[in-house]
Amino acid sequence: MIPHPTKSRLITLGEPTRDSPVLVTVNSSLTVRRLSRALRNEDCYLLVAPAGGINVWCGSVGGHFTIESIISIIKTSGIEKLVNHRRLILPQLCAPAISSKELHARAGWSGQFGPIRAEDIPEYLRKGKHVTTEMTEISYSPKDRLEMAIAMSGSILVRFSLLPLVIFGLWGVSRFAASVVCSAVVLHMFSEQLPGSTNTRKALAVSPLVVFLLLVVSWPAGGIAIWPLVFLVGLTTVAAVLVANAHSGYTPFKQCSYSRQFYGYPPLKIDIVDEACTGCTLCDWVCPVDCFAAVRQNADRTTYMMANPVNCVECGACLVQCPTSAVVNLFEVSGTPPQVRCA
Amino acid sequence: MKAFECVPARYDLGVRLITLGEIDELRRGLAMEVPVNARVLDVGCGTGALLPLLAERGVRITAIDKSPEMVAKARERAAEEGILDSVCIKRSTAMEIDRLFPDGEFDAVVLSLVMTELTNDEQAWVLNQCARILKPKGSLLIADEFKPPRLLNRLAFEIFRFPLHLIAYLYTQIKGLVTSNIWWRIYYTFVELPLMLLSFFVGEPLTAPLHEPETFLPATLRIAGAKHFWGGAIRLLKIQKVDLE
Repeated sequence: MIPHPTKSRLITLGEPTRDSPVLVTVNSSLTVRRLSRALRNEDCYLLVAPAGGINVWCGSVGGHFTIESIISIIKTSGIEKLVNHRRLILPQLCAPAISSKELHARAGWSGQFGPIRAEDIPEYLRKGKHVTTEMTEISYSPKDRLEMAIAMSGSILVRFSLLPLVIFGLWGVSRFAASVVCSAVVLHMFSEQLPGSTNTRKALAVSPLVVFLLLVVSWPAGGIAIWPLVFLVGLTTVAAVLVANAHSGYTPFKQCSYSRQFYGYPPLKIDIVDEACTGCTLCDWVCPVDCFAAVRQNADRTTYMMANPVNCVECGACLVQCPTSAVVNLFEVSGTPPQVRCA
Repeated sequence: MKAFECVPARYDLGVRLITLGEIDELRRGLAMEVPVNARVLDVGCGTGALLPLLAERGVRITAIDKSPEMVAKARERAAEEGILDSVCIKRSTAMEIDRLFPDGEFDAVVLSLVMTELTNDEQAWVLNQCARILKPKGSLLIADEFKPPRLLNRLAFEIFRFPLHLIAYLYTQIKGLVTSNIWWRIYYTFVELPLMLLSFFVGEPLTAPLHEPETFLPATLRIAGAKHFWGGAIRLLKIQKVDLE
């Protein structure tokens, strides 16, 4: 993602009192704009923390949005003089980076994780700061998919348009752009329905459709010759491969394909040690993809277990948040990929 | 430059690059300004290059840095120099000094290449805190990048600074290209490198140089002396805490 920072500051929404909630977000301009719109009817304070202009999810996993960001904005905004309480509402997707325990120790403020989506915040505040299950799970609606497809196409076009422009001129770059946008939209919208086991195969399955579409559109411009057709197929294929490669990082369900190779993130294989688990529900709460399930051990003891390891996006939120260190990374414990535990 | 902060191996070279080799002179000058046998706080100690120079003057040093890697590196260096008994290195950001130190704790506070890493609001906050933790007549030492005062110097500064920082930035970011897999390496070079360049232009890895010091100093701090390098692009400021009464 390309960062787009805005000034870190304190935003006063409505007419907050000394007991109004204090929300925290990052200084990505799009995030701030959407939050302000979602909260336009609320009376609250919004702290825009310095995080390099990157969104909450990428920023917290990528080390841009940290406890230091929050400490900085607490000190510089003077929020301590404006409210009586010391409670922050944090975006849930910052859980991989911000442990509420450490925040309390270092800044004297306690943090509670609010809903994932900005639209849910008004309801969350009305219900006495109580999150429902829907608020803590990532959803990926067709509208989001379309938006991500367009954002992804933009990023790909900025990076790769130069080559078709140099080789084929405007003819090439327009076809390239069209095929990137078409395959990105189809891949995002129908990712689950498309045939093929990998993203690349899925995208290649889409490309004949794109070629056909482009041919139909350009037919009135005067027939079709053999060489332009070959080039068109080539451009479309390249576009499909690029789109497929970028796809996983633009979905909320997969890790960015180069986070490991490029940034050297250690792989995670999460499990919960039964004996250490106190059943505090925090792991289940911060997990954005529904990995955990409650297990009733006996009448007065409920623990959590890793129920859906396939869902795991390796964000590490549960690992950071667990107050008793019952959540462990199996790769770290044994060094080798262990056997999947039987339920 | 923000990009260096967490990569100790690249930090020293990166800093040398953006100060055009003046960093040693700057650090020596800094150490000379510190009173003998004083209590000193080094905010943002980095790899701890300043610590041996300060220890030579017989001062007791408290050093803080926000990155755990840097703190480890600074401790290593202090151990190598055998100055561990006069140095205390903690992991903390500049924004936490209000909780760490009481009023009038230090004879001198050193902000070496720290101010430009902070936002304007943070700068104001940190300077106020420095004024608080300094003893009366204590001195605050700032070594950092400034906008040169003269027009010609400023022009040269604007022209050379950008490519200089770009090179330093790419150098620190390029560590991702070091992988054994040839295909990944090709991919990084042709795909990710252009993206890095793009985010350099769009994002904010490039820190803004400081303006004339009078514009950001709180009322209790007065400039007591300045040393200019490269026509004022890099300066060492000695600032004194004054009593307003």
